[in-house]
Amino acid sequence: MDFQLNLNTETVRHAGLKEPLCVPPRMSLRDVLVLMRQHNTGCVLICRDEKVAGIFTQRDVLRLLATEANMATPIEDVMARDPVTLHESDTVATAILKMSEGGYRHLPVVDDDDRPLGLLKVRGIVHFLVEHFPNAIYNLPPEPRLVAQDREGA
Amino acid sequence: MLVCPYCEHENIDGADVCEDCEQPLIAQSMPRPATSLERAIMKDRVALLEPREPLVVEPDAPVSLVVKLMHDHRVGCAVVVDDERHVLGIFSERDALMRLGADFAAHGKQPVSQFMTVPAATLQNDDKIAFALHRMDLGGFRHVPITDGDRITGVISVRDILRYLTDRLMAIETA
Repeated sequence: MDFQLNLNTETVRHAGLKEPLCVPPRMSLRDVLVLMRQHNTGCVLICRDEKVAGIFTQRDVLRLLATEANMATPIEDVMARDPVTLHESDTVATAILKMSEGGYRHLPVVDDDDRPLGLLKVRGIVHFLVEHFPNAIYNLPPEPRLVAQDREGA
Repeated sequence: MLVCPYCEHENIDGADVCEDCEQPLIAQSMPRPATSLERAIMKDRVALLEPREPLVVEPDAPVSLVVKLMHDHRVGCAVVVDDERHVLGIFSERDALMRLGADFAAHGKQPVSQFMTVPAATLQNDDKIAFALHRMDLGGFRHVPITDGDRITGVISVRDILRYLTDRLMAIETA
């Protein structure tokens, strides 16, 4: 059967959810930055009583470095509170719309009690699209301006 | 007339590959029906994303200054160029976090060239959006400089791609 991409039926579970890195609200900015580097991640969730209370991403990092923020500041003072979230049953189309509207590149996926289940990165969306547009993308020449002039074996 | 199923370019009968998008047209490799979104990304070019004016900096600019400029201009990356606007590298939010992070204050005076990513993957205005997507996926890039020849003319971000997809999704839903 032909595969038809349907962004309206595939759920965010199919878009490569990542295990979120969760930190407590009182952790210092310095410790969070060290942790993000160790885990090679551009986003952490701030959790209180196992619930998502905030999000902190590399965009916030840039802002804080540019304004020479105090590295001892607790993360809860500089995080974005009550982030836009997704549920597991949300579709990929919903995720794309939410990311595009808000300019977000990370959306936490939570259960009905706001407990974190995963993290959807924009990178996961890009990869999902590339995987599901096999004709359009995998048939492209490796360099856009490089085309074979002769048939192989001719 | 043979209409390419991907980009709707009209080819002469008997063509093996589409003259415009280079997709194979021979019968046995005739593609499965593409969705309209898939067709769109094969047809539309990077220029349609309206690449924004890049923030360009010299390689010996102090990294603390570059971070401030990125913040002031509200952009996620700076393109490091030589005096003829050739791209030398790219310095992104991610580099600020991963290569400086908590040590920022101690390294602020060092030149941005020590922390930038080289070589920067670039695209051109007439590249297909499908190719831009592939580039971003392979490299995990959020920003790609757009060049004309090897001179910087703009930059696109993954956000531009999302906006493009959102517009197309809306168009398809209301069609």
